[in-house]
Amino acid sequence: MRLPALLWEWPFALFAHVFVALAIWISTFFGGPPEPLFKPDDVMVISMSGPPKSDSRMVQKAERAPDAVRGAANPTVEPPPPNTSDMAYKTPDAQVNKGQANADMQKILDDMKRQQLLKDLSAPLGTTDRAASDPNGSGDGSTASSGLNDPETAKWIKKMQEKVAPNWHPLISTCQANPKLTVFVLVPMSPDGSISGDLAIETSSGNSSLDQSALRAVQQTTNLPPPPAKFTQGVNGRVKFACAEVI
Amino acid sequence: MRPSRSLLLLSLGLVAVGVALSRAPAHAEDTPVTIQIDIGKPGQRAIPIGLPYPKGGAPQGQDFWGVVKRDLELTGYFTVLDPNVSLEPADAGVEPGQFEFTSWTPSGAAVLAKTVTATSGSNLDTQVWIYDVNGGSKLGAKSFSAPSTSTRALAHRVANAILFAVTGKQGFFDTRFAFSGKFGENKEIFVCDADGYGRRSITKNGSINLSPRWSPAGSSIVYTGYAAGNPDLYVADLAKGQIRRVASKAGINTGGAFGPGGSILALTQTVGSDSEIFSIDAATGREIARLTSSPGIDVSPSFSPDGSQIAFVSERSGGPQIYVMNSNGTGAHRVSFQGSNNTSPSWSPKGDRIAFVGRDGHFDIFTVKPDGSNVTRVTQGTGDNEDPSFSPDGEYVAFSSTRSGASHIWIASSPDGAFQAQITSGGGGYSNPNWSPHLSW
Repeated sequence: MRLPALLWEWPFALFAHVFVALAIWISTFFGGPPEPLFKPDDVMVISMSGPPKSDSRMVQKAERAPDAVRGAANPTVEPPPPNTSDMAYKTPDAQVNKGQANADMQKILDDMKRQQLLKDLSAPLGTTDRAASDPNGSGDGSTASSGLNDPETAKWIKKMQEKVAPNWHPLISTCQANPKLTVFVLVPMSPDGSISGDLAIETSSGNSSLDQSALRAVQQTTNLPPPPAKFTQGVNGRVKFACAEVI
Repeated sequence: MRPSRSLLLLSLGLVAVGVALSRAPAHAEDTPVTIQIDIGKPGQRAIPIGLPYPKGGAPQGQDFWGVVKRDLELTGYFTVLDPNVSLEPADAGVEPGQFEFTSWTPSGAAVLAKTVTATSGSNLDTQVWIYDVNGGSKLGAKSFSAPSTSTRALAHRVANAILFAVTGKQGFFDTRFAFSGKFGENKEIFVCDADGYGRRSITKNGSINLSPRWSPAGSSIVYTGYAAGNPDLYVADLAKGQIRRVASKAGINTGGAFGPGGSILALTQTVGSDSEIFSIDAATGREIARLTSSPGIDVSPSFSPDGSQIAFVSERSGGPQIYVMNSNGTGAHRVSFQGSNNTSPSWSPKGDRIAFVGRDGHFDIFTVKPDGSNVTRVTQGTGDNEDPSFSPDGEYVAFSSTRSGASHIWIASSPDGAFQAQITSGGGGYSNPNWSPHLSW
């Protein structure tokens, strides 16, 4: 005897609802972490660029692997084979002849590669905090190159670095004593580049002097560059200050 | 039946969407993106340091302060803030607990150096207290005392103490420069303090005197002089005030350079129509060995810090180029390959680089690793830059430069010249600077 459709279809539908909901809920326990709020492309790790320095200006540590990488990016001229005594000197300027935009972009790309090399070299030494560079846990350490997909954001990051870095004055002796010290400062920014909330030490280095030097570096930076227009709600700058390259 | 199936599918869809929404952050649309910015290198700008005027009331206080300020700036590590930017009251002290760090934080000072200068009989007593403003802690403290006529020397010691406390590096303000200075129509040998002041004559013979080089202990200087009508090699004993001629063969006797022990000199002498490099006993002038035998010039020897090798200039491949050989003359090999005119090698006391002069339109300073790799430009487009000489720690190169008009002594950070500063002032005409070791006088 066939039951009327309503008599069995509605209980079945109710059971199906509960089953599907349970299945999806249970899957959250086995299916890995939830989707990150932002894709890996939204988290970028780009190193400081430009000539030293001074940094670090006058400090050489060529014996250490990470610094050997840094040295490789210096404007140096490798010797060509002998019997070229009439060759003119090559200069850093002579290498820049493709237009400023291309040069800028190339510099950004070079910096990214350099940073990745630095991380790869220093990771076995334990000098790089991969978890810190990949805060959403989405990564295998490869997010350093994700900025390549968004030149506009990469340029903004570079501008931020150029504005903030000159105001960072950690004690060289502190960083020499512990090159692994790293501090993260959270900088809430409006679309116009103004700071829209309280600066905060997100992750302390454990050294109050270094923490304060990082906080003051941001506080003393005026006219931060506006984030790319696509970030209509502004951005949360997560500014990482690492001792590793100070020495 | 059909409406019921549609209802079922719609319901399933709603459940799925509901669950999906429940998992998505509710604020995804209106929360700012988080972007990480890595600040790997600290500021290219120097460290802002608060350096208030000295306490203690000694009349030399202002002069003392001026010397310390300039010294700190000559290192390239510091920007000295105007003392008036501090918010601290006039009665604030120099010792911990006697002042507030918050009086200095608005100025941007990262480091604070407080000094005291007080007269004690015929002496000037000084103290320096060095603080980390960011950390609110003391980095170090030192006291010095000297005859009150030695204000500049005391200030140099204080500057060294500050640099060491902040960077861990030994400063160069206990060193001097020897150089050849124009004196009327002649050229005499002088020495001056590392900041360009305190000049005094080593020669006064009304002749041409060139290329001074310090002994490793800093107690004597070898130079080339024409006082006897021929370019001969002389050694000036600075403690005794005596000058003696150590090489006077026919032809030239030039470019003398002490070996690391100070007992051997390498120099250039004439053989037929060629110039070759020899080693001689620094005390007696007795020839020890002939080190080169090649057509064309072989000149300008400079020992490696361990004395095992000598950098020099040779024309054996055509034009003048930088070569390195073992100190017994064997194993010569070329290390400069760019440019057709490379001269004046100077080996870093650290051993890691050789500075030299390359002609590239103008004369410019370069550094290169002793194996010939990693040639790095130090100067560019700034007049003629010649006669490089490393600081004792190898962190800086001194050289003569015409960039400001007359020839003056300048220093640049090694290896790439990112920081450069003029040492001497006045009329100029200074050449062949040679940087002393650390001195105790």
